[in-house]
This record gives sequence, structure tokens and C-alpha cells, in this order.
Amino acid sequence: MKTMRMPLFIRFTCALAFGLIALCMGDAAAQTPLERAESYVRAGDWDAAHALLAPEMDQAPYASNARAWFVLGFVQKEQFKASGASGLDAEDRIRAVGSLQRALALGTLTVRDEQTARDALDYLGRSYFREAIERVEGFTLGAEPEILELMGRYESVLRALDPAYNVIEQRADLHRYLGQAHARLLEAARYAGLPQEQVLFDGAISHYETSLNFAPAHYPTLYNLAITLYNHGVRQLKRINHETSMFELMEIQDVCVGLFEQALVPMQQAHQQRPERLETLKGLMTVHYALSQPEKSDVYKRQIEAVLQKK
Amino acid sequence: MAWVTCGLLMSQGTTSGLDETDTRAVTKANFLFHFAASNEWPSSVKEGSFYLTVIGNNRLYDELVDKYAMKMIGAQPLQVTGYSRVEDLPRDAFHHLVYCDVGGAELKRVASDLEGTPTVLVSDSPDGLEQGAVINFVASGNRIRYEINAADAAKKGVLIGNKIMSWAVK
Repeated sequence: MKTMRMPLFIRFTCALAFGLIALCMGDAAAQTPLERAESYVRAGDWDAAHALLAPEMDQAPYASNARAWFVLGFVQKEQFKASGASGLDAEDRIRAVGSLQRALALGTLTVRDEQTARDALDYLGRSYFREAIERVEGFTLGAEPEILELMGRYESVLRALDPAYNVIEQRADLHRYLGQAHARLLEAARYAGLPQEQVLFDGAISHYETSLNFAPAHYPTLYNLAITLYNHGVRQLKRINHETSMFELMEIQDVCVGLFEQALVPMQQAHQQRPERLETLKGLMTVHYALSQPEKSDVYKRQIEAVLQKK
Repeated sequence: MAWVTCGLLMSQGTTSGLDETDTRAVTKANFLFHFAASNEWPSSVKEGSFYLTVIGNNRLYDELVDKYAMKMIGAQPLQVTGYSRVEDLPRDAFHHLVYCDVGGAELKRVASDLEGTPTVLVSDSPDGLEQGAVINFVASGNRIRYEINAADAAKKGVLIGNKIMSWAVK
């Protein structure tokens, strides 16, 4: 009986091919999802890395694996960056913060991984802060709750990195910025005579006062509070015209004088901080004048002249 | 520090500007308009324009021109005139209402010049009424109020309105 036999070189080639396939399959089977995700990370394929790793995180091997949470958090941070998303609803950022905080909380990261996780968290925290500031700079009515929440998240990340971190200075600044943002809208006269005008005025005063609770002797906050109170009084006064009755005139005067008297207190406190500052001297001169106190107004007028002579 | 870096985006200083409106001029202008509109002048001067003259207060003059000029006082359009100094006031022209910002001897001189005419002289001076003004602005509780010499007004043939009388401090 004649048997069919393959030529030797063909048999060798087939054997090599089968061997390589087996080797490759054996190697893939040996790689964990984390290791495979890491190779995607090295290639910059964040979505593939996330798709591979995220479903595994509820499983026992990974739920308490700091390195896995760290890689996942890093991937989510990169996804957030790539998405260009912003605001409270940027989900990749929320997930990234959660994963990185969990990685750090497990306490088993290498020194290098821990530093990278902290840097990533710091980046995410600052992104909240940047967005809060952007919204303050382009402030519109109704933006305040989101700004406060963004700042709250910034503080939360900061505290996670350093539980002893003191946020008082930032809060004082934030409320001062919000006071200024409200006051700027108020000055723009877009809401003149509308109910929103009072909302803006109350908002400005409330934020300046909150800021002063955190930093009581802060000169710009004291000065801005005084100016906002004074200017609001003047705003009422400017509405007086030929149709204003005598009774209305008296009422408006009462409101204005009340605001001028309130303005005097922070203006004097600001003056105590910087006794030779011209804007405060001018403010005191003007407020006393508006309060029909010409002698006191003249005192500050003379001080202004003295300061100007020194220059 | 992250905060410091980003904080530079926001102003660290004072941003709001002081509103430089002359608040007393705004209030006094409205009072003067009410003095013009709510008092009763003799019929001999109730034709033509109503003449309101301001001496020594440019910002009050500007406020009056801006908001009240040509408004009707009864049937008379309000004409506002301003002079920097007492000596600039024309003695031969009639004025229904004159506001004089300066007090003392200069105010007395204006009062003397206006004697015998149905002109209400208004001042803002501690001794305004003593110097011959009919109405004098005074400070009361940090507010602008006024006092009246109603008897002098009556001698001039001007009847001070009830509304004006009721808000006077004396």
C-alpha cells in the first residue's frame, strides 16, 4: 500500500506555524485584563482600555486592587480631557475622581503610582476651579449654584489630597469675586428697575459679607461693599424726576440715607486699613456729603489735598 | 499653588467705581421743582415762562436743566438760568424762584436786591432765613429738609402751598 507523504519542508513550515499560534494564544490567555488595558494605555487608546477594564472593577480580583483603580482613573481622566466636556455633568471627570480617590484610599500603590494619582487628582480639581472662575468672569443671573457646586468639588478634591488643607482664603476670594460679579451686572443697568436688580444687589451684599466673615479686614472687599451700598442709594436717587411726588421724594431719601449710612461703616473700616488711600478718602468725603454732613466731608477733602501734596 | 495661579485671572483689587453723581443736587433740584409747582404766585407773574435761577451751584443747575427745564409749572414752561457769582445776577430781570448757594453777606445782598418782588429766595446756609431767604435747606437726620419763613413769603404775595408747609421742619 502506497502512503501519501508531505514533503519535508512543508511539514516543517506547518509545524512552525502551529507552534507560533499556540504560543501566541497561550500568551494572550495568560495576560490579565489589567495588563491588556495597560497595553492600550501605552498605545493611547483610552476607550479600548476603559472598555476592557471598567466591567472588571466589580469583580473580586479588582475591587480592592489599587493599581487597577489607578489605571482606570488615569484612563477616565484622559477621556475627560479628550472629550472637552465641562460643568457638573462631565461624567468622565466624576468617574476619574472617584477611581483615583479609591486607588489612593486602598493605600497599596507604589510611590510612583501614588504621585501620579495625586497629580491626576490635582489636575481634575483645578479643572473644577478653572470652570468656576470662568463662570464668575462671564457671570449671568442663575449661574451662582453651579459656581458654588464647582467650587465645592474643587475643595473636596483638595481636601482628599490634603485633609489639613485650609480653604478659608479661597472661600473669601470666591465670595468676593461673586460679590463683584453681581455688582458688575448691577452697574450694567440691564436690570434697572426690574425685580432682578434687587436680587443682584442682595446677592452682591450677601457675598461681600460672607467673604468678610472669612477675611474680616480685607481692604478690597470692605471698599467694594461700601461702594455697592452707596451706588445703590445713588441709583434710587437718580430715578427722581418731575413726576416724583413730595411724599415719594421723602421715601426715596429715607432709603438712600439708610444705604449711605450702611456704606459708611465698611468705608471707614477700609480707611483704617489704608489711611492714605485716595479712593477711600474720596469715598468718605462723598458719603458724608451725601449724608448732609459737610464738616465731616471737608475733613476728608483736606486729607485728600494733604496726600496729593505729598506726591 | 493652583488657587494663586488661577486667581490671577480675577481682579485682586477694587473694581467698582464710586458714582460721582451730586446726590444733594439731585434732591435739591426736585425740592426746587416742588417749590415752583406747589406754591401760589401772584397773578401778575403767572404768564409767560416760570423763571428759576441758580447762583453758585453748577451741578444743581445742570440737574435742573437735564430733568426739569421746559416742564410745565401750571401753564408756564420752566426756564432755568444759572450764574456762577452773586454779582452776575441781573437785577432788572424777574425771577420767580432764586436758589443761592452762598450764605452770609452775599445772600443778604441777593435778598435785598429781590426785596419787593414776588420772588422766593431759597438758600442752603445755617443762617439762611436770617439773611433774608424765604426757604432754607437744612440737614435733619442726615436728610435734606427745609425751613420756611411763611410770613416773608406772604409779604411778597406768594402763598406757600400746604404740601410744602407740611414737610417743612419749621
